[in-house]
Amino acid sequence: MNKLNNVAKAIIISCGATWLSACGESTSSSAGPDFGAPTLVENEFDEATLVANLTDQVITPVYENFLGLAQSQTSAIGNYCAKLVEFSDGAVDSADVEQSENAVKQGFQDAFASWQQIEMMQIGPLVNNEGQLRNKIYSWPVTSNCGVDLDVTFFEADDINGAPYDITIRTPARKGFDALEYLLFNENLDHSCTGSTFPAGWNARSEEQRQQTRCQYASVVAGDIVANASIMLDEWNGSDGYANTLKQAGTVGSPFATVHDAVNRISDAIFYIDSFTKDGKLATPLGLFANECGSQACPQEVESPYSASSLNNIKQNLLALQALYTGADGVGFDDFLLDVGDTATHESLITGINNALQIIDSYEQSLAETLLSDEQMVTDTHESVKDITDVLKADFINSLALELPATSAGDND
Amino acid sequence: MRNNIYSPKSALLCAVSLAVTSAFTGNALAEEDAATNPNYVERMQILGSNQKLRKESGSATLIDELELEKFAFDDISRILYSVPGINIREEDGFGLRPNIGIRGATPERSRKINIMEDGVLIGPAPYSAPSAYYFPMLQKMTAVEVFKGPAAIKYGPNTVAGSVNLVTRAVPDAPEGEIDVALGTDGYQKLHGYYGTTQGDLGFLLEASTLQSDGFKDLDGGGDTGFDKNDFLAKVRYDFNTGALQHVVEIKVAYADEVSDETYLGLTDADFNANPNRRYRGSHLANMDWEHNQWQFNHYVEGQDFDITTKVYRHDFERAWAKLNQFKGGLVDISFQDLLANPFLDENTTRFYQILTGQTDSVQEYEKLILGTNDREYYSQGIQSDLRLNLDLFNLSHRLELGIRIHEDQIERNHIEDSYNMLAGRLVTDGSATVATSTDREEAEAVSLYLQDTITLGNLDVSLGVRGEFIDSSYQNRVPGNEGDYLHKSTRIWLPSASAFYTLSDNAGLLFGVHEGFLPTGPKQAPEIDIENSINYELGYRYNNGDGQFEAIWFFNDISNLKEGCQFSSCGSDNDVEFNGGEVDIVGLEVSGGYTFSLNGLQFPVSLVYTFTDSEFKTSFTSGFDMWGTVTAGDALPYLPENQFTLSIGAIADNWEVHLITRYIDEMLEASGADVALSGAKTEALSVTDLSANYRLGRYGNLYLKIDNVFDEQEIVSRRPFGARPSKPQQAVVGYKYQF
Repeated sequence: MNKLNNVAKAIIISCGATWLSACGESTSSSAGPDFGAPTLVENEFDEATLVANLTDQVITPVYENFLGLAQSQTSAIGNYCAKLVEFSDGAVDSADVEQSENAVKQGFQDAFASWQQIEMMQIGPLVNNEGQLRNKIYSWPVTSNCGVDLDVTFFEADDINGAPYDITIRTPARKGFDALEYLLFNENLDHSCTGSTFPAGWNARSEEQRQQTRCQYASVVAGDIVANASIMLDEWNGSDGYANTLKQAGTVGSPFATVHDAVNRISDAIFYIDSFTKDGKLATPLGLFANECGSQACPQEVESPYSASSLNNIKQNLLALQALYTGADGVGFDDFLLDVGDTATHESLITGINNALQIIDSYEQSLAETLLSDEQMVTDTHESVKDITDVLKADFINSLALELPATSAGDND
Repeated sequence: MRNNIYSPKSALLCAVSLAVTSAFTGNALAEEDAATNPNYVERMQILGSNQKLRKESGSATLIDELELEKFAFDDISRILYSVPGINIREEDGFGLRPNIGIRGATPERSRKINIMEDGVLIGPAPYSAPSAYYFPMLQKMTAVEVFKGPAAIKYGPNTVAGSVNLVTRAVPDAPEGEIDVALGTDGYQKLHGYYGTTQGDLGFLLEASTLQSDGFKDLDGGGDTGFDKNDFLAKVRYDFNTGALQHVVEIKVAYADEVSDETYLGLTDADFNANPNRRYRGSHLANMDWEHNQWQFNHYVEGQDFDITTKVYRHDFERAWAKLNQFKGGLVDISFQDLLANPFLDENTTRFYQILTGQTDSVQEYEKLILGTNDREYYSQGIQSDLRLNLDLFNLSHRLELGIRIHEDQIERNHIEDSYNMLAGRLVTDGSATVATSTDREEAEAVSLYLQDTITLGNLDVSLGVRGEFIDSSYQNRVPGNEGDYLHKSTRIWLPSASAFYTLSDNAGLLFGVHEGFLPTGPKQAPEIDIENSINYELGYRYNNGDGQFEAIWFFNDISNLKEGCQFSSCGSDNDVEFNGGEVDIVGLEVSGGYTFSLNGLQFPVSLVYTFTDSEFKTSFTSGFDMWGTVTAGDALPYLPENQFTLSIGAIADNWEVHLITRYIDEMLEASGADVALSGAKTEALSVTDLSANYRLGRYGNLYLKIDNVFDEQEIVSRRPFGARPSKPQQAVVGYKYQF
C-alpha cells in the first residue's frame, strides 16, 4: 500500500501543479496551398483607385443617364396618350398618332438600353432586400402579362379591393419595363389571361378604348420607373450614398473591412453575365435550359419578345461588362489583372468580349426570328458568352483572390 | 504556438503515473474463483442511487430503470424534459435525431454536449463531426445520466454544457428475460426482448429491439412518413480473481439500423394552422438510411482501495440522407425558408409554392428541385482507462479519479445532388448527371486526460480537477486535383475545475462549482475561428431524506466566445461553416423536487422540475449565421426557453399504476438578431401531457397503455431549416410485457 500511496502522491503533486497553472490554450495549424479563399500575389495595385473610378466614372454616369432617359420616356408616353384621345376626338390624324407612337417606342428602346447596362451594375440599393428595387424597375424573368392586364383595369377603376389603386405597392411583375414593353409593343389588344381570373369585359371593348386605357396605365408605369430610378440615385449618390460607402471601404465604421471586400462586391455584379445573359437570355430560349417548349429552341422565351430588343439587351450587357472591366478611360479590373501579372486572363477577356459583341452585331434578324432561321448562330452567341464566363469563374476570380457569388458558384451548364 | 507548461508533457507525467499504478496492480497473479462483481456495473453507470443524498460535487441527474419504465418513451427528448437545465429543439416529433442542449448550449444536433453509451462517446465522430446523427435506441437502456457543471469535466471533449450517458442493460446475475410487444396509432409497432444469465463466472445477454411507425404526417398525394429502426445487442461477461484483485472482462457487440422517410421540409404558418401534420409533395423522396456497428471490450479490476476500468471501443456509422435541398435557382433564386415565410408575396413566390406542393409542374430551369443525398461514413475508436483510488495522504482523506483516453475518429463525406422536375405531383429526374458536392475527409486524433481529487475536510468535500485535451485534426478535400486543399490543426488546452460539497446534515448539503468550458473547432474550420471558451459557475442546495428529494442550483455561464456552426438542420446548407459570436452570458436556475405520498395502501409519487434560463449577447455584431443576423448587445440566444417545467404525478397500487406527466416549454426565439429570415419569429409555448397506465397480471406479465400528448396539442416547435414543424400529435399505444 505504501508503494501505491507514493505513486498517488506523485500524481496529485504533478497534476496539482498542472491545475494551478491551467487555463491555457494554444492552437497551431498548417494549411495546404488551396485551402480557404485564394490569396493575392504581392502587388502594388491601389484597389481604392479601382473602386473610385468604377463608381464615379462608370456606374454613376450610367445611373444618371438612365434617370434622364426614363423621364423622357414618361413625357413621350404622356404625349402619345394625349394623341390617342385627340385622334378619338378627330383632332389629329393617324399620322400624328403614328409619329407619337414611334417616339414612344424609341424612348422605350433608349431607356431600356440604358437599363440593360445597369442590369450589369446591380450593387448596393439594387440588390438590397433581395433585389426589391431592381425588381420594381425590371422584374424579368418574372413577368405576368395577365397581371398587367388586370392592373390596367384596376388602375382605370382606381380600385383594388375597395382601396384606391397605388402602383407603388403592386407586385413587380405588374409594372416596370416588362409591363411597359407589353403595354407599348404588344399589338394584340386582347387580354392574356387564360385562367379563371381575367379583366371582365375587356375583349369586348373597342380598340380605341383599350389602346387609351393601356396607354394611361403605361404612363403610370413609366412614372413609377422614374420614381424608383430617383430612389436608386438618391441611395447611390451623396455623402451617405452607397457609392461613398464603397469608396470608404476599409476605414473605421465602414461595413467593408477591406477595400478588397468592396472590389468583391463590384465583381459580384458582373456575374450577371453568367446567370442572366448566358443562361437566361441565351441558354433558355435555345433549349439548353428547360423552357416552356420542353428544352428545345423556343422563340417565345426570348427576353423582350414584343420590342424585339433581346439582342440589343445582350449587347448592352456586354458593353457594360466591358466598361467595368476596362474602367472606361480609367482604372479597371484589367489594370488589376495586369498588375498581378495575369496577362493571359486579361487577353482572354478582352478578346472574348469583343468576339461576343461582333457576333451580336452580325445578326440580321431579331433573336426570336434567328432561333427559327439560324439556331446555330444563337448557339455560337451562347458559346461566345460562355467563353467569357468560363474565364471569369476561374482565372479572373483566382488571380484577383475574389469570391464567386453564390449564384455562380456551381456550373449550370 | 506556445511550447510551455501547457504542452502535453504534464499530461505525459500523469499518464506515466497511471501506468505505474497499473503495473502495481499486476504484482499478484493467482487466479481464484470470483462471484460477479456488483461495482463493475457502477463504472458503466456513473451515478449512484437516488435513494440517498449524493455528495458528488457538480450537478448530476440520474433517471433509473424504474423511472424509464414508467413511460417507456422512445424519444430521448421526452425523457430529458424531466431533467432541469435541458433545452431541446424538437424536429421530427419522434426524436430520431434529437437536438439537445444543456444550460443554454445551442441544441443543434446535440453537437455541444457529450453523448455517451456506457461511458464511451457514442456520437459518430465526436471530434471531427460532433453532430449526433446517430442516437442509440432507448429500449436497451436501463439508466440515463446527465452531468452538468464541474461534473462534466470528466467527459470531454465538450465541457461548455454537459454530458448525457446512456447505460445499457447489464448482464444479469441469474436467468432473466423479457418480451415487450406494443401496437399503436399511426402504424406504431414495437417488439423488444432480451435474455441473459450468468453461470459461474460467465454471463451473457442478448437483446433485440425493433420499432416502426407509418408516421403521423399526411404527405400530399399519399405515402409513408414514418421510420423503421432495429437494434441488436450482445454481451459476454467473465468475472475472475487474481490474488486480492477482482477482475471483470466484458465484450459488447451491437448493430443498429434505421430507414426513415424523414424530411427537413416544413410548412407555411397558414398551412400549419390548417393541418400541422401536412407534408408537401416536394418531400416525397426524402429518405434517411443508416447502419451502426459497434464493439467494445471492457476490463475492470478492483483492489482494496482502488479500481481501474479500461474500455476499448470501435464504432462504425454509415448514413445517406436524401432530402430536398432547394430550388435549382440561378436566374431566379428563392430559399425555401423565404418562400414558406411568405408564399403569396407575388406571382413569383406563388408559382414556386405551387411547384413545391405539387400543384404546378416545373417549367423553367430555375424551377427544378434539387435533391441532395448526404452520404457519409464515420468511425470512432479508442481506448480509455479510469482509475479511482481512495487513500489518506497528508493526513487527509482523498478520493482520486484519473482517466486517460486515446481516441481517433473520422468522417468521409460523399455528397451528391440530383436535379428533379415536379411533374404531375411527382419528382421526376431531369436526366442530368449527378453532381458531386462535398467530397472530403475530416479526422481527429485526441489524447484526453483528467484528474479529480476529492478531499474530505470534516463536513466539507472539496474537489479539484483538471482536464487536458490534445487534439490533432486534419481536413482533406478528396476531389481529384484538389490535393492542396487541406488543413492540419493542433489544439492543446487544460481545463481546471473546482467544486465543493458541504454536508449540512445526513439529508442536506450545499454545493458550489466552477469550471472552464471548451468546445473545439472542427478540423475543416479555418484557424481564425476560435474555440468556444467559458467559465461556468454553479451554486446549489441538495436535500434527500429517502422519501423525498429537493435540489436548487443557480448557474452562470460566462462565455468568452460563443461558437456556432451551420448544419442542414439549422441553416439549410451543408457548408459546415462556423461562426464566432463573441461574449455571451447565460444565467439560470434549476429546481427539482419529488416526494411520494402514501394513502390507503396507495402510493402517490409527485415530482416537479423547473428551469429558468436567461441569456444575452454582450456585444453588437453582424453575423452570416442564420440564427444570429445583426445582433445588438442584450439580444437573447435562439431556441432557449425562459421558463420550462415538468410536473409528474402518479398513483401506484399493488397490481396497477397510472402516471401523468405534463411539460410546459416557453416560446423560443428562432433568431437572435435582425435581418435574417426568421428575425422576430418565435416558436409557440408548448404544453404536453403524457399518460401511462400499467396493469400487472401477476405471473402472466403486464398490460400497459400509453398516450403521448393526451390533449392532442400541437404547436410549432421550430421553423428550421424550412418552415414550421409540428410537435408529435396524440399517439396511443397498448402493449404487453412478459418478464421471466
